[in-house]
Order: sequence, then C-alpha cells, then structure tokens
Amino acid sequence: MRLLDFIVRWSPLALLAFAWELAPRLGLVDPQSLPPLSVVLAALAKLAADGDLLTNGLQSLWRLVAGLGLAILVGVPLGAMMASSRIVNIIAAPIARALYPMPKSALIPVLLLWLGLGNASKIMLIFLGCLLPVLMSAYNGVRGVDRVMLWSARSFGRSRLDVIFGVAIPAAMPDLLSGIRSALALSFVLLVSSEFLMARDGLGYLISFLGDGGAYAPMFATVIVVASLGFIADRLFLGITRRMLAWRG
Amino acid sequence: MARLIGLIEATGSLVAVLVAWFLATKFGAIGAFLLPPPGDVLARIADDTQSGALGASLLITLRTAGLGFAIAGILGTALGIAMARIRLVHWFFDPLVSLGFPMPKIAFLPVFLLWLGPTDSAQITIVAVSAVFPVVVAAYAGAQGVEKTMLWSAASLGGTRTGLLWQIVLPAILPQLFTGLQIALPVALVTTIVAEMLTGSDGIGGVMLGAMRFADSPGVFAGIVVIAALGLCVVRGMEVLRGWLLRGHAEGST
Amino acid sequence: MSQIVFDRVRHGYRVAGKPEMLALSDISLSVEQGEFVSLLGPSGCGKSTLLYLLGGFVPIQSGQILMEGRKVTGPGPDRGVVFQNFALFPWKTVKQNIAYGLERQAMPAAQKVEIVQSFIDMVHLRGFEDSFPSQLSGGMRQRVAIARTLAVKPRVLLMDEPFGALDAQTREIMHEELLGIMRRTPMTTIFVTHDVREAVYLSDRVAVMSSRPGRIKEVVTIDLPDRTGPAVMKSAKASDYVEYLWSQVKSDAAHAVETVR
Repeated sequence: MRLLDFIVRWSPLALLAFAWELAPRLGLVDPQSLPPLSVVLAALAKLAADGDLLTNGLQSLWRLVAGLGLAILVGVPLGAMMASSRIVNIIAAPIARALYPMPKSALIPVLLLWLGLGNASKIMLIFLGCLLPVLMSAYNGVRGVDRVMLWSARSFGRSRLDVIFGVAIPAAMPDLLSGIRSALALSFVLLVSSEFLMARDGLGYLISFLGDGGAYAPMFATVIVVASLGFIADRLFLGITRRMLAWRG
Repeated sequence: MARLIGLIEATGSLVAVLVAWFLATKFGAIGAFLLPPPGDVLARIADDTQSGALGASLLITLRTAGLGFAIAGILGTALGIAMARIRLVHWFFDPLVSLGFPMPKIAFLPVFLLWLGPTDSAQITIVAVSAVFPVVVAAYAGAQGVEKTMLWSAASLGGTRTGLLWQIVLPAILPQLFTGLQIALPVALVTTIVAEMLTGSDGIGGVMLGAMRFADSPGVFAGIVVIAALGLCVVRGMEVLRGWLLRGHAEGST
Repeated sequence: MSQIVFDRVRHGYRVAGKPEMLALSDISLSVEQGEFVSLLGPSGCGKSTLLYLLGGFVPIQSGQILMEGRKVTGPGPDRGVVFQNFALFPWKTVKQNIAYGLERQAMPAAQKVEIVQSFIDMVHLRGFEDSFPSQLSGGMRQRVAIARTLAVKPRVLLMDEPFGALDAQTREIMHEELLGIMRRTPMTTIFVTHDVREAVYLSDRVAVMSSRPGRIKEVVTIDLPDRTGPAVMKSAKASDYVEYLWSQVKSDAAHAVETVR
C-alpha cells in the first residue's frame, strides 16, 4: 500500500511537528526562543499575505538562477574542453586546482568591496562558488567517456568541437548532472550566506532583519521557507535528471 | 628535463595570473583600493604572522571548524551505522536526513544565535549540523554495503556485537566513510567562515569582514590568501591521510 | 594500385621508467579493393593497434599507411569503424544513431530519412527505430553500429573484434548477417579477431600476427567455395585451414602469456 508506506516513512516528521507545537506550550522550552509551530505557521501566512515572502523570494531566486546558470554556461564547456584539449588543460587546470579547495565564502568581503549590496555581488559569489564544482564534474565526466565512442564520432568526419559538444558532453551527462546537483545545494548556501552579510533584500536578509528586530516567529517561518526551497529545488532537479537520463533504461 | 617541463605545465598559468596581478597594480590599471599590489598583501601577511595576530585568528578558526567537524564525524558515523543496523533508528532518522541533506543548513544560523548567543557554541553547532549530513549518508551507505556473509563469518567465529563493530564494520566502510568526511570538511570550513563573519568573531572570517569595514583591502586580500592556503592544506592533508589509512583497501586510495 | 597499403609501420609506446615497448614492428601489407582480410593473432599482438593506425585514431610514428594512394593522417568517413563495444551513443535512439553520420551532409531531410530506414531494414531492426541502445540486446546493438557505419558509404570497413562481446549463438547469427551485407554491398574489410574459425569463415585472406613485437608472420589465402552457410566449415578444406592457423596462433599465444607475466 503506497499511501501507507508514505505515511510510515514520513511520520517521524509528524512526531517532531507535534513536539514543536507542544514543547513551548508546555513550557518545556522557552516560547520566546522557540515559538509553537502553529504560531510560526500563522506568521508564515501573514508574511505570504503581506507579499514580503514573494518579493524577497523572487529576489533570492533570481540571484540563484543567474549565478548558477552562469556557472553552468561557463563551467561545462570549459571543463569539457579541459578534458579534450591539452592546451586548454595547461592553461586552466593549475588555476582550477589551486582555487578549488578554497572556501568561496572567503570572497564575501572582497565582493562586498567591489560590487556593494546589490544583486551583482551575490550573483558573482554564487557564480564563482559554483563554477569550479561544475567545471570539475564536466572535466571528470568527459575524461571518463569511452575514447572509442569519441573515435567513432571523429571517423564520421566531425570536427573536434562538434565531438566535444555533440558527443562528449551528452555522454558525460550522468556525472555532469550529479555535479550540478551538488552545485545547486552549494548555491543555496552561498545565497543565504551572502544575503545575511551583504544585502538589502532577499530571504536571507529578511531572516536577519526579523531576527535583529526580535520578530522570532516570522524569522522561524522564513527559515522554514528557505530550507524548504532548498529541498524542493533538489527534488525538482532530481526529476529533471531522471527525465534527461531516461535513455539509460 | 621532462620533469621541468612538467612543473612549468602544472604551474605556468597560475604564475601568469600572479604576474598579471602584479602588473595591473604596478601601472595603476586598477586602483589600489580595489586591488592592492601583491607586495602589500604579502607584507601584511608577514606582519601579521610576526605579530602573532595571524596565528591567533587562524587558531580560532581551526578550533571552530575542527570541533564542528569532529562532532559531525563522530555523530554522523555513529548515526549512519546505527541507521544501517537498527530498523527503528533508520525509520526515525531517514526522513530527517533526506529532508535535511539538500537544505542550506546555514539558514538555521540565526536560530542558533538566538538560542546560544553570538558564542563559539553557536558557531560550532552550525558547523556540526552542516557537516554531519554527508557523513551520515556515507556511513549509512557503507554500512549497508558490508557483506552480510562477512559479518556472519565473523560472528560464527565468536565475535561479539561491539567487537564486530570495531573490527569488521568500521574498517569495511572506511573508504566510503572517508569520502563522506572529505566532502564534510570543506563544508565545515565554508560554514565556519560565514559564521565568523556573522558573529564578528576573532577568527579569520571575522577579521576579514572587519578589515572590509575599515576599507583595509590588503587585510581583506591577505585573508583570502590565508584561507586559500588553509583550504589547500586541509584538502591535501585529507588526501594524504586517505592514502595512508586505506593502503590495504582495493578501491581505497581513489 | 592496392586500396590500402601498410608500409613498414612501426609503433612503440613508453611506460614510465621502462624502456620503450615495441607494439608493432615493420608491418607491411597490401589490401585490394573488395577483399575481406582478417588480422588474426593472440591478445596483445598489436592487431587492434594496427587497425587504429589505419583508422587515424593513433598518430603514426614510423612508416606510413596509404589509403587509395593518400597518406593516412587522421580519422575520416572513408574508413568506417565498428568497435567491439559498439560505441553507440546511448542517449540517441536507433534511428538517431544511424542518422549521425548523415547529419552534416547536404541532402534533403527526406532523403536522409529514407537512407536511415533502408539501413534499418538491411540489418533487420524494423520496429526498433525509436528504441534506445539500453533496450536492445548485444547483437542488436552491434547491428545498429554496423548500420550506422555503412550509412555513410565508407570506402573500407574496419572492424575491431566486433562480435567479441556477444555470446556464441549471437555471434554465428552475426556472421551470417555480415556475409549477407557483404554480398549485397561488397566492401573492402579489415577484420581483427583472435577467433580462428571466425577468420576462416569470413575472410578471403588471413594475416597471422605474432606478438611482442607485433609482426605479420604469414598471410594465408582462404580458398573456400561459396560460403552459403556454416556447413562449409565442416568441409575438410576448412578444417585444414583452421588447424593450420590454430597451430600458428597457438605458439604465439603461449608466448604472449609468458611475457605478460
């Protein structure tokens, strides 16, 4: 019974929801620090009705899509070419390898310096932060493509570039999509971090604004919204991945 | 000769970037405020090292990241193995792990700040919470994969439950577990730096943000260089450790 | 003029720290238009390497390979290749795979569709046009690979142990398919295999290769009457060929195992 399985699987969450509602009400935890779930949900409804969630949410999502989108547009071809061309590899690999282990949140101060509080600094942070993971997964994916498949394509008279974009990248899709999935999670972290520290709007800014103002119930509500967005985005991406890799059988 | 060429290939473009940085600032192409000359940045790093300021802030950052990572590592491993072997534990935690894994845990930092104040504990907690997920998933996957036949053989040879755990399960899951740890460590670092910036701590993240507030660009860039070096050392260190720890495993030192 | 000429081809490779290993030493061979020539030898004798050199996938170090009088410098549609693991594009359907070689060609779309369909029929895969390779058996995949290669009308066909990944029954079926195709559209073919019976059954000539370094020991002309079915393999003549070639290959097979150790 699929419905029963579903209920059993997710029921611990229901238990936690109960606990969240009861514990503050029973005084087990300080209701100032942890408002009951119902209060938080009411605050959520109010935020949604007032339009705060929508305006800030759209700001945040736009930054995420722009930053991640750019990272994919640049990282995939670059990584694929790094794997296919010795020259590109020699130029790009040392820089990529040196910068890959650096925690990109370290760039927040300098981006704040250069680009201020507007969209640009956050989009840039997400772009720079996600570029290398996407690039490395494209690189590894294309490197792992059976050379015999690439040879076949070449034997049909296709140019090197044609083979990279028409054969190598599609063949590397499984690895590539897995890497983009990780980058998606990272993009949320960088978005929220940058909106905490260098923004005038957006969901992260809303959270810290509400927190500073002592409006804890709406703050919890917004945190839930942000966390849920991350989860939903991941699920949506898995769905897209499944459809794109349907040929795997 | 071949080795020299190899070395040039491996570092050439990096050197080129540094040279470009030097030239750009030398001829005033970019204002010193936006991009301080590499010389200034290095001088600042040297000064801070000498005065001990660098060491102090580095220590604070390492302590936060290290403790958070250690907690995540131990708890995550324990939970992952427990999930694989005890059905009730799996039932309770599976939705939490599935739900939490793709969430930006950093969004909960203000909550921990509310509960624990702008303290070390709040920072260590958010680092641990962020880093624990990859470890749990890896430990779970690894423990699930431990061949039942291997466990049964050991049990029939007189192994106790805990003995089995330490002697069979842990070594068997080590490659996968270590991969999870290798993912968790950069997460711990990123989270630490953000947490430091938000709480104004004296760790490197906090120092960098402070430098920015005082328009001290050499300070900001010095921080970037130090953190980049830190990241590099930490990642390399994990790779070396992996090679040493997993030398007996077939697919170990990937 | 022979269609394909191997002229003193030599190929070595270097593993770090060890002296250069010679994969192929002084290979010279001519192949005439329409011939079916097998390169027969044990694993590691370099027969695949020779095929890759002709295909233009591996740069020629020493000597030359001439294709219809011109030096081979890279891959091209004049030399069609079929690989052992099919090398199909798994994200494309059967139809799309076969159409791949035609994509960049300047001809009306309707004509391309026709050509693709005719090749699908030729390899007996009607009904599977929109299937993905993951949904097909090994034999079917290899048929798609062959159709894809032939659709661009190459001048010669290079086959690298194309049936090695298939089970025995499928392999026999594929032999018949291949011979049928060769009868309909005769094509110069260079066929790499380690299976003696397969070589005898399919080829006009068999070049026996020795290993480490790879060298052509001997070229045997297979003179069997019209191969209308596997029954021909039961004839005394065929058995003689098989026995002789087997003895030639056996001594080198043992040697190959020794040197690998």
